[in-house]
Amino acid sequence: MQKLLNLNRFAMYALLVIAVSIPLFMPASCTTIPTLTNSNTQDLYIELMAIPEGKTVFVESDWTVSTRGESAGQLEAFLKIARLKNLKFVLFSGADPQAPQVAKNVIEGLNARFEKNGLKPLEQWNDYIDVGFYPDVEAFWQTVASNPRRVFPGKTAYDPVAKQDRDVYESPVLKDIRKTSDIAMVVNITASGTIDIIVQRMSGKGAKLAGMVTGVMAPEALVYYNSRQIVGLSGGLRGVVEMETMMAKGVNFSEGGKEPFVKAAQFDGVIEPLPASYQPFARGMNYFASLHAALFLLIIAVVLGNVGLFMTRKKGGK
Amino acid sequence: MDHNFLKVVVGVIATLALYSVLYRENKFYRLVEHIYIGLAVGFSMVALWTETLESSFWNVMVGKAAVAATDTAPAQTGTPGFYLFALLLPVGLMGYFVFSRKHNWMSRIPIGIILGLWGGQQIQIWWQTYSPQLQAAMRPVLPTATDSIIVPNSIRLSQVATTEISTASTLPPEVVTTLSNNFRMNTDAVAAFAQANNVEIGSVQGAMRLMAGKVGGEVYASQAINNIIFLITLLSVLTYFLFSFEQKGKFLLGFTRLGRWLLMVGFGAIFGSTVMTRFALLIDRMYFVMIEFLRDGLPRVFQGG
Repeated sequence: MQKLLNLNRFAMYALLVIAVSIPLFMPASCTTIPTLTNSNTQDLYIELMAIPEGKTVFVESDWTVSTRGESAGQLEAFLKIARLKNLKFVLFSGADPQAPQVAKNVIEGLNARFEKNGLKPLEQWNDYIDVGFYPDVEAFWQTVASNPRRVFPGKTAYDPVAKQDRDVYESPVLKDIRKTSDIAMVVNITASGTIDIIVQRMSGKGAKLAGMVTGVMAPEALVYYNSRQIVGLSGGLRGVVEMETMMAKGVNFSEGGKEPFVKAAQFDGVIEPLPASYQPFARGMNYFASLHAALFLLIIAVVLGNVGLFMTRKKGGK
Repeated sequence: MDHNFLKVVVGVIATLALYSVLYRENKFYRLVEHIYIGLAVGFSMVALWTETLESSFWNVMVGKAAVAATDTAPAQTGTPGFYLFALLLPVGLMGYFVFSRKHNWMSRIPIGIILGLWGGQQIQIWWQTYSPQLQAAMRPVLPTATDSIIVPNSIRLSQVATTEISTASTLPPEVVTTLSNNFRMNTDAVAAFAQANNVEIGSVQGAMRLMAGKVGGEVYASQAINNIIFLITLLSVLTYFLFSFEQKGKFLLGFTRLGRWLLMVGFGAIFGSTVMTRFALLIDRMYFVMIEFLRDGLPRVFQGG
């Protein structure tokens, strides 16, 4: 029994690596796990899909490669909706200087897949503007809240038609943004506590707020959802999988007389699944089977450890 | 070996080096850790200038010259320099006097300005953060509807309500009554209902919305129970944090103990969510090593792709 309390650490890590790696090599049809969706993720998806075409969203992307497992899937989910609905977005970070480049890498990777599936890639200037890193994010949001026309002074971006750098406020993304209520939504994709700052500075200013956060931040951000300070929330890898599920199955959408797979009681409309050309970019679902394998291994390890401890104590050992 | 694959190879080496510390402390880990810190600091300094100070400070301060139109590009108007921005620089630089024993009083000036600005915003921030949460915590604990324990799919409509919904949705009153027996239907069922009753789908959906609104105004027993659990949790946890007087009495001690247990349940759920995040990060790294490098990257190199 003592052995159960002294399992080789290296062997445990090796077992974990093997357990999470095997599902990654399996075809998607074997690793797709039907997942029920929570109301917070449903509301996020419903609100994003309700934004009128061509409107502008502010996306604060506050994550780097360390949380790619969760945050990249969140950003990809938003980008797919942005492409489908022709939404325009301003991309920036208030948490990490590396974050804008990491987000641009995701856009680049997704654009390649868009083009492969016959979709138009997202273009800087026409579809989005990358305004970079803002080290004092409190001051940034305070300025947006008072006047969004004064938050990007001197910022330029390359206009592919004029073939020169131009003021970002002349771009199709920002030309119609005159006051905060012109911003269709503020989406914070974050691995840190930056959503607090957005809620503090932007509540009641006419722009809807939403969060796509890591599992670590989700319990904290859920408070804002429950008090309706944010309109929707996607938390962690589970949140990514829920977004992908709604993209694949729609919301309140029934086929062939069957009950809808995603039922949203709070929503009286119907959202159809995304067209086939948007499927199956499913980063979250690719990882979900591995997550289940890892959690299963964790539960086994906890049970073995407790059995070992219990038996050792019973024999009078310490 | 193409440029992109080289990036992946470097990434894989760094990943393995950083994970090697899980086995034991080693020089390979230390080397990569120091490279990472150096890169991060260098990257941050460059990004701070190129992405923030240059555009938001320097370019605004020195202004921009007008550009004449060309065959391909429109004319650009110039902007005058805003040289008052230059006054900010010495104020900011005063912060560095914190390292001087003789002149460190000067560093208190920028710190004071920042603290003043920060402090002035706090009332608004506190109110923006907590007032909606306080409002959301005010929940009804007494049920107002007695016809069902859970939120029902059917609704018993009065004559007045039937007429009201009938007028608003343009459905005949008898169709409204039939619909009230099951007003939460999926899209296929709504279409079938509309066809069977020879009415518009939009009218049926409109009536369903009005009925849902009427149910939404009631508090059902299941909702009341949820709200009571919420209220007990809120009050017991708040009681646990009352440290300004000695807590005496069986009830109060029991209530604070309940608060502590409920906090533990909350922490357990938060910890579970954190563990899932850590696993997700490991899985992504394994995806990077196993799929992006081993499965997709290496074969392309050997095939000369």
